Amino acid sequence: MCSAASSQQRIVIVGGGTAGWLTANHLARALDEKFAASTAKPYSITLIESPNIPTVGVGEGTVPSIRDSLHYFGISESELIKRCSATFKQSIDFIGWQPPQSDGAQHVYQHIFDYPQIESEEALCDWINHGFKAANFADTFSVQSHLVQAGLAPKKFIQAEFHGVCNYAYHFDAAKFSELLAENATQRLGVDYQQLEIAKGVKNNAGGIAYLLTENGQRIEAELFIDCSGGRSLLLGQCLETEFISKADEIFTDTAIATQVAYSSIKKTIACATLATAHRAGWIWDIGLVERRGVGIVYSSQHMTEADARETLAHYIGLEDQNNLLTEPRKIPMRSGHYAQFWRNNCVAIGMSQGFVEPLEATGLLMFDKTAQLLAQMLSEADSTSLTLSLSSGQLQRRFNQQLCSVWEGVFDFIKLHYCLSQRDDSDFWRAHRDMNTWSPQLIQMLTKWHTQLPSQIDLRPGVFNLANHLYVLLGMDVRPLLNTNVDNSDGQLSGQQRSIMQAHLASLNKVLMPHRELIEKVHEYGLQRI
Amino acid sequence: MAHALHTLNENEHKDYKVSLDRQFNHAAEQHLIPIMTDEIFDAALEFPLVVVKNSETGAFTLCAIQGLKPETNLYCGREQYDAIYVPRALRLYPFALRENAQTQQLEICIIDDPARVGVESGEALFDAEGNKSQFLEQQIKLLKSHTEMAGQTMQLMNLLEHYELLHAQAINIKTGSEEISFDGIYVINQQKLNTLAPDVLVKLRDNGALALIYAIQQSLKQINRLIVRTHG
Ligand SMILES: Cc1cc2nc3c(=O)[nH]c(=O)nc-3n(C[C@H](O)[C@H](O)[C@H](O)COP(=O)(O)OP(=O)(O)OC[C@H]3O[C@@H](n4cnc5c(N)ncnc54)[C@H](O)[C@@H]3O)c2cc1C
Repeated sequence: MCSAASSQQRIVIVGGGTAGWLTANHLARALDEKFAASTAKPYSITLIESPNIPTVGVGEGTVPSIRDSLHYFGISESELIKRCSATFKQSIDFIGWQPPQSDGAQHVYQHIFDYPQIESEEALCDWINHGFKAANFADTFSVQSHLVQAGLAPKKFIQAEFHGVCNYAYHFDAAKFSELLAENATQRLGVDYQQLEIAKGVKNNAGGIAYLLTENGQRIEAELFIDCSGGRSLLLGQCLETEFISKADEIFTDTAIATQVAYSSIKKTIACATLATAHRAGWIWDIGLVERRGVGIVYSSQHMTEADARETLAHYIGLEDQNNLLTEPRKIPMRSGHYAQFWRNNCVAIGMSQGFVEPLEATGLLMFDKTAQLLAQMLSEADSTSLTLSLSSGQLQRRFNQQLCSVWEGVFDFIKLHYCLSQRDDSDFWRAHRDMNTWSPQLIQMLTKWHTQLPSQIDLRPGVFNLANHLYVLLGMDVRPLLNTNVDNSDGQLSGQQRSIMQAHLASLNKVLMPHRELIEKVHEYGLQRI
Repeated sequence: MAHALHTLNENEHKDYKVSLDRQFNHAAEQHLIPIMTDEIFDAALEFPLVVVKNSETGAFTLCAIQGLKPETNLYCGREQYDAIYVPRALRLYPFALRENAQTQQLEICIIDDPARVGVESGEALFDAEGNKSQFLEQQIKLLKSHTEMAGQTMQLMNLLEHYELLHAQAINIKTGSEEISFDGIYVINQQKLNTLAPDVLVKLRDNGALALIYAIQQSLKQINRLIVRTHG
């Protein structure tokens, strides 16, 4: 099928959730750059969204790489903060993921965004053998965990947009975020938007998609179809019948119930971390925005009834705040796993249409952002001046599928890591997670090695979670390698020094950082400078 | 600067006098002094001019560097103010303009600094009939032109920002054994300036901004004067 050189390559995105609009922005930006010199754009990008099917409407936690994407799209940080009720996120605080301590206190650890500042491997070994008694891993090797505990923002007001003294991401209102992305794509980057409901995709002989059929019988043709239709996976799953690789036997949580809670007073402090509190059969998220919190329970329906889950959520929210619910708690089914391929023929799936893992590490946006970026990069790097070649390149497709598969596998192992290290014994849910039959071979291999050795980057698949992320979880869960202590004679001295360095750094930051809500209010009033 | 600000009032301040201070002791612990557009050519001959962010609003502000470290000033509070040009912001003291929250009118205020303001000695603010003294009239004129120029200066800052002519630069200075580094400072981005589109250049030339921009850029050389003074 050889289209005339003059005809435009049509890219059609189905779905206007976060995934659809992130994809639209990435592609429009990258192709705009690639074809900046040409007089006529050799491509068009259209996003189609059903006026009747709502977006999933959750997804309020992000990871730091979102800052790069926003900056790249040309969206200003002040705009994001003002329009999306956004707040700063510096950590996920894990509460109760191990049994309570002997004094009854909750077990708590923090997965912060700053890399640990480990001065030397000796210092880390010293902490593992001795220093852990004095202070936990994050508190010893970072200042950020202290900042979060003190409720301080990660940046100075006079720092430029997207810059901070610590690494950070955002919490925001998912619906408002989609709106902002949509406005940017359509008004600044030339993406077309159409409200149409697609009845189905129709296959061609080559195993790709010939056209989309709308509810009112209209045909939509394109050279590239991007499926951002959410969990229903309209094109990759339903039309092309791609194999789905379920991870339900590794990750048992399969249902969420989400709600929103208004602050009891407008002066309430805003947490600078996502709070992730474990319960009998899963966990509860708690995300602080400016006027409200997003709260939801994630659970395994095999191990907990819906009534129990609702009860557990209500108990967490507390009697007082029950009156401040802004939305009825809404049940959302979740299906863990991913498709065997993500790009087949002329169809690429991005978003929940390509796979899903429960939201423990805010992997959703991260994955879709990365995928959209990868696709944009591949399309704009290919040296052909028309897109026709790159769109049909089997080699690009293979690379894309291999890379993403590896990323997804790494993500599932990383989520599983949070559960399988727990010694909680209050339900079959936690006991089943400890059963090694529910671990992937790669995870078994890593954990076996880490039993006696320090983790290192080469143990991990190339992916989105790196060594630092694994260290925070592993050591945060009090799983410390049994290191050969013969060579060790520092008796906690090195980690003591490490703590003093952090204390000194912290003292200087205490002087220049302000409380989280205060900074957010200042940004609302004055905005941040771009430089 | 912890002194209170009072709206000037001919009854309350009838007997007030302001003593002159050519050493500008009030700024002895301030290393950055605000500069307005009409002062740029004079100030640039003696002080490095840089842009910093106002810590309250984040807005870009043009300042002369008068000290190489926070809370030091190599000109003010010394035996003698040893430069030809005195920034207007120094000369205004102890007067200031403030917007009345209710009427939105600008009001003349006096800073209650006992070192400068009292009833004993100095320039009288009002005469026996309660009319403004010549001294006060002059100060008011100064305040008014300062406020007018503040608007122009803000426009210049907006232009610099709009055409991306500012960039952050840490200034590192070695003086003897000491190493001083300044951050949070923005200077003219020379590369951007050199590659401005012709129509933008013409526009900046015609509205007078271009000459000011070059003067600000050149003024950085004056950092050497400060280094010499630190040693002296
Ligand atoms: C409980 C829960 C919590 C989560 N928390 C986080 C988090 O903290 N952080 C994070 O990053 N992610 C999180 N996620 C994931 C995140 O919410 C989603 O991945 C994200 O919203 C992207 O969704 P999407 O765009 O793929 O799909 P959706 O939001 O479902 O959008 C689908 C779009 O497709 C359109 N569409 C569907 N069918 C048709 C059709 N036939 N014709 C035309 N249009 C159609 C719809 O109109 C809609 O616009 C969470 C998910 C869940 C379930």
